[in-house]
Amino acid sequence: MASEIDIYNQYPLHLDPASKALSLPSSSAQTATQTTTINTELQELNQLHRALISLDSPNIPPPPLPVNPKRSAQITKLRDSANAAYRKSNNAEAVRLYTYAIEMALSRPGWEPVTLARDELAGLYANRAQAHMAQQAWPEGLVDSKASVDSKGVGNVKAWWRLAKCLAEMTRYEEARSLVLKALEIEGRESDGGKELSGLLEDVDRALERPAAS
Amino acid sequence: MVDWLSLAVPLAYLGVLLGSLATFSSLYRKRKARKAASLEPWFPAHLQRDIYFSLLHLEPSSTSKEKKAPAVPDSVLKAALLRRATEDIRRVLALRSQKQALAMLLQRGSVGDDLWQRFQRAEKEMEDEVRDVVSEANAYTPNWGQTIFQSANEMLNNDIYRKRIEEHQSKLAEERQWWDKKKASIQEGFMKELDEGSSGTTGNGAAQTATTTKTFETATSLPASSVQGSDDDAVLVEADPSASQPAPTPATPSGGGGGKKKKGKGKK
Amino acid sequence: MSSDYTYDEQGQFFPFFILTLTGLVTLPLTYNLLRPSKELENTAPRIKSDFKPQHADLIDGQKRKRLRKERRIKRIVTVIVGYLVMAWMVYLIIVTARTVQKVYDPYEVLGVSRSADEKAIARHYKRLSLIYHPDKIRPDPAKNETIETLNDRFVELTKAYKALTDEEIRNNYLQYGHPDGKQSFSIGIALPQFIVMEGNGKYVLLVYGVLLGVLLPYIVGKWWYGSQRYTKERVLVASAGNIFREYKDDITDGGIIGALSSGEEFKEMLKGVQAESGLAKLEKRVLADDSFLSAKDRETLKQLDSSSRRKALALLWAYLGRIDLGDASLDAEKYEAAPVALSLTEAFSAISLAFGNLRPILGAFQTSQNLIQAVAPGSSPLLQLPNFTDAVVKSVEGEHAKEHFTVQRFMKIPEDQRRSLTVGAGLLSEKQYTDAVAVARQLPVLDISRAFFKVMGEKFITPSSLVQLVVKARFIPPGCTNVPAVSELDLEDIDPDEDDLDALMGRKPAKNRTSKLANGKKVESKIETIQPPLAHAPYLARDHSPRWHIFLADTKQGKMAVPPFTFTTFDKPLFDEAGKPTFNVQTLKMQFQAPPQVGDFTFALHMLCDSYLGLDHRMEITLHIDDPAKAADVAEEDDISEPDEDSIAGQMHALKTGQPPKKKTRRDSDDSSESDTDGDAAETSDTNTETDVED
Repeated sequence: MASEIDIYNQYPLHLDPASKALSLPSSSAQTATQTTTINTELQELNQLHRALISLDSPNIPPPPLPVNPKRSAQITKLRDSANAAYRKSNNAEAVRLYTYAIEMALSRPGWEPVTLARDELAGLYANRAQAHMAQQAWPEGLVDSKASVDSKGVGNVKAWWRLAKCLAEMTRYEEARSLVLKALEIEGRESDGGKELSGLLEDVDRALERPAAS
Repeated sequence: MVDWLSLAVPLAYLGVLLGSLATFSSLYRKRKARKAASLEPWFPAHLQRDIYFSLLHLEPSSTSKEKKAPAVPDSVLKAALLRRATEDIRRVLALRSQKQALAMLLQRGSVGDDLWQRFQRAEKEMEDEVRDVVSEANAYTPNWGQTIFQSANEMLNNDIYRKRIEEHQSKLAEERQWWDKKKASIQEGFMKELDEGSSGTTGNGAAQTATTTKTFETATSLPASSVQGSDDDAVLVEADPSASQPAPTPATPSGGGGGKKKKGKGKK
Repeated sequence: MSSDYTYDEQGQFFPFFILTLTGLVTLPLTYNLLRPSKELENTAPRIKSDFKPQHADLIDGQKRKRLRKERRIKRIVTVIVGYLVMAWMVYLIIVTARTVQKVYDPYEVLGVSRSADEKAIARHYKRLSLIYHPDKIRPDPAKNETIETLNDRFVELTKAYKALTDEEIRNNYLQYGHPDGKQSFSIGIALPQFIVMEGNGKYVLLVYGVLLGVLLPYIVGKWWYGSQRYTKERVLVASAGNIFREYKDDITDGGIIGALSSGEEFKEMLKGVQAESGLAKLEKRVLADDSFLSAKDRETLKQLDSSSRRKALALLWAYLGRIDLGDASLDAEKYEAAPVALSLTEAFSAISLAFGNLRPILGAFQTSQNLIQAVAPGSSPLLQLPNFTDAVVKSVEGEHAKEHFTVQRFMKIPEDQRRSLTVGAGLLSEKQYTDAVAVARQLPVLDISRAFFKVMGEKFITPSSLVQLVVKARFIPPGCTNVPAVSELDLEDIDPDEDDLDALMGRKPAKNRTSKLANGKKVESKIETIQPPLAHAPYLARDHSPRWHIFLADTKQGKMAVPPFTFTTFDKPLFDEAGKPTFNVQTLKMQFQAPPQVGDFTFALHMLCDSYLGLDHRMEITLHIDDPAKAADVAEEDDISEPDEDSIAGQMHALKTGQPPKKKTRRDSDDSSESDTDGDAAETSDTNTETDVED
């Protein structure tokens, strides 16, 4: 066993002395697909290396908790100003600010808890979807609310509603209907947004009935 | 004088019988041994591990053409080790999720025995691998071994999550394009309906559906977005900051959703 | 030695021996051959349609090939030969006269009964000698008698008399039926003489040696490996292993097709050069058609290394996309691949059920629909109808439709509008349209009228009891107008009419956890089994009887809650003699163990037909589990007349559910127990995050 674990494939890697970036010399005897996978892996590794270097002395990622509060504060600030912009109906500005916040949240280092990123991004995407919808940009709203719902499925009624709403606006009633039903199952009819969802369901059903009746 | 011929017959029979049995059993054993030896590994080659080891063994001579090339810096090795741990976590999680199902399938006779053997071998290998990573980590920084897999786990999950988000966002262009086309066709249909309304002719089938689409579209969506839409929106936005405020407080990662909404994707 | 062997020189026992031997082989084989006629596919009616798809001849060819394989020609020949041999032997037996040695019997000669004693025999002999003494009678020429015959007869009589008057001989007769006393047994070996003749012996031994030394090990070995090669789902073990490793928690349509292509069966099908031949052409065609293959699936196809797997996957896509490959052998392979993939789907679905994740399970059933109907994942269910092409579908659904019409929705469009959408240049001809609509009107769309939970013989569902899910559903083919309303009576589910005892009996197997009652229990009158018509699958080179799967899922966690029950037959006719739908309410039942906690459990009930797209049904259903103590209380209030029995019943409840019979405290702590379940819920949602992370 011990001998088995020492067996490995040696790759002729090249370390750039200045940037410490690793690369695979192109002359090596790998197949094309292998080369691409190795190269993508090396890219990731280099990226991670850069992230590690920027850390403090032992240059190892800290344990997932507690989280560095600086970034969270920045994101919150951005979100607040975006909310303010939205409330002033400055939708384009709101979208821009939300986008910044999302980018910031996405660039959190990988070793921070994923649940944190999910929660943060679920809210941000839902809000950006809202800002998009205010401009009748349904596809953008759809994609964002989808991302939000995917980030956080339970307790995210608003995103569910927006998702279905966008679909209904784009006349994709069947999809909207099945999503509302799913949302109702997950969130429960008695939850906060349950009423709105039921209302939307009725609208969608009416819309679905219409072509059949005509 | 012994009758050799009559003695040869039973001897030959015995020979054939024993010989064929021996052949059968040796064939069976050989086949079994070959199978056990050639069991495919459960996972493909462990690229991250290979890279890590390659770095460890990176001969200074190979890079020393220029100067007295430095050995690979620790930080690079640490990064490589972290990548290796991430891949390990992925594999360990995969094994863990497969174990129960595989045991059940084996019991039911839905999979073969050798799959189980391969699985057990993979499990054992992963155990050794994890132990090795922990000891390596401790060698770089004391006690890192205790947290490296925590970090790796989050890195893995973050990675998966970001990929999914990326996937959603990558559909934007397609959706946008579709909607532009669709909107155009709806408007066209609407215009046609206006024209036809004035000329008083009944449209053909296609035009008719288009117009009906438009009519119910306008009938439902416009009031919805103007009345109910704005109402709800107001409510929802008001609720937004309050709802999302607790999110940044890191100590309470509220139980994220288990729902996976895949309907839209399924349609793809 | 008193016993000796005689070879069957006259060949009179030899046929018996052979007859028995052949019978031993032939009769079980015959049974084996005749039995499969009871299989679903062979007894079901068919959907009437004249539709002939493109390459109908190739499909039929594959069908015949498959049938030949299934019919096992070798066995048929063996059986026929067996019967011929048996018939010949019977003929031999009849023809060969049996030479039975006649034993000299003095009683018969004298014409006395065996019970006669010595005196009676003497008397009888005297009388006979008076008649038959040659001095007393004249030969009668009319009876062809001569003096000699008369003499002989008398000598016989005298001999017999002598024999019988000898005490010892008479006793021998009485005891052994032979004058010499006990006879030796003669044992005959039913082999013809030539086999044991001098000089042939070694050949016989040789044959024997070959039989025992070579054939027997060979057969045993073959059986052993054969039985090890296949899994329970009748796929190769190696295939199941491959598919297991291809399985991912978020695998869907295209991914499943990819996983299926890893089956070893394809390797066997595409042996040797076949794996390479035409691969380039095939791939060009499959990848050129950009209408249905997603970028991801393309990538998967391109990255496969093994050429046989690559070809298998390309063939499957070609089949699903109904791509004309323009090459008879490639097309034939395409139609051969689909049934193989269909049987592999069963292995996949067994694997996905073991994992219990909802999405792959649904995906498995949908893949089977896609394979049976030759419709690519994500394409329109309308393609199931004969003559429908992408162009027709586009005309129906509209140019930029993102959603697909189901057949039901298509048939809901008013007739004239439907016709104008589909009939026209580049679309369908009038005849084709009629064909398509005729098939659409025969699709077995199962519509759930009601679904509920119950426990047999109980009013309440208590924790851990054996719950029945009763689904009342009707077949409503698409395009049916004036469907009668469901009568309320039909929706009731009445327990068997016997009293408590039987209900208790019914609960007996519950403890043993049998789940056999899938097909409905015995209702006094009759258990009819009606088969729905075979799936209308013109492209599939195999007959397939549709199966309906019903299972419960937990949507929040995306997990299966109660594994699928499969229904292939129903209890009432679907169509009457004239082919009109009857709208009978069918009853489908499945049993499972209720959760051990009190509370409301909401499930998503999924009902899928494995053969048709767009017939999936999904509804919310809530299982309400009562506190056993409360249920017992209510029962008490119900029949006040017999309090004793009630308390026993209560105790039994307590025993059954493992709940201590302290009713009062139980009710006091109701609140706390509720919060307990809340805690449970919170826990489960916590585990949600765990699972969520994965996908």
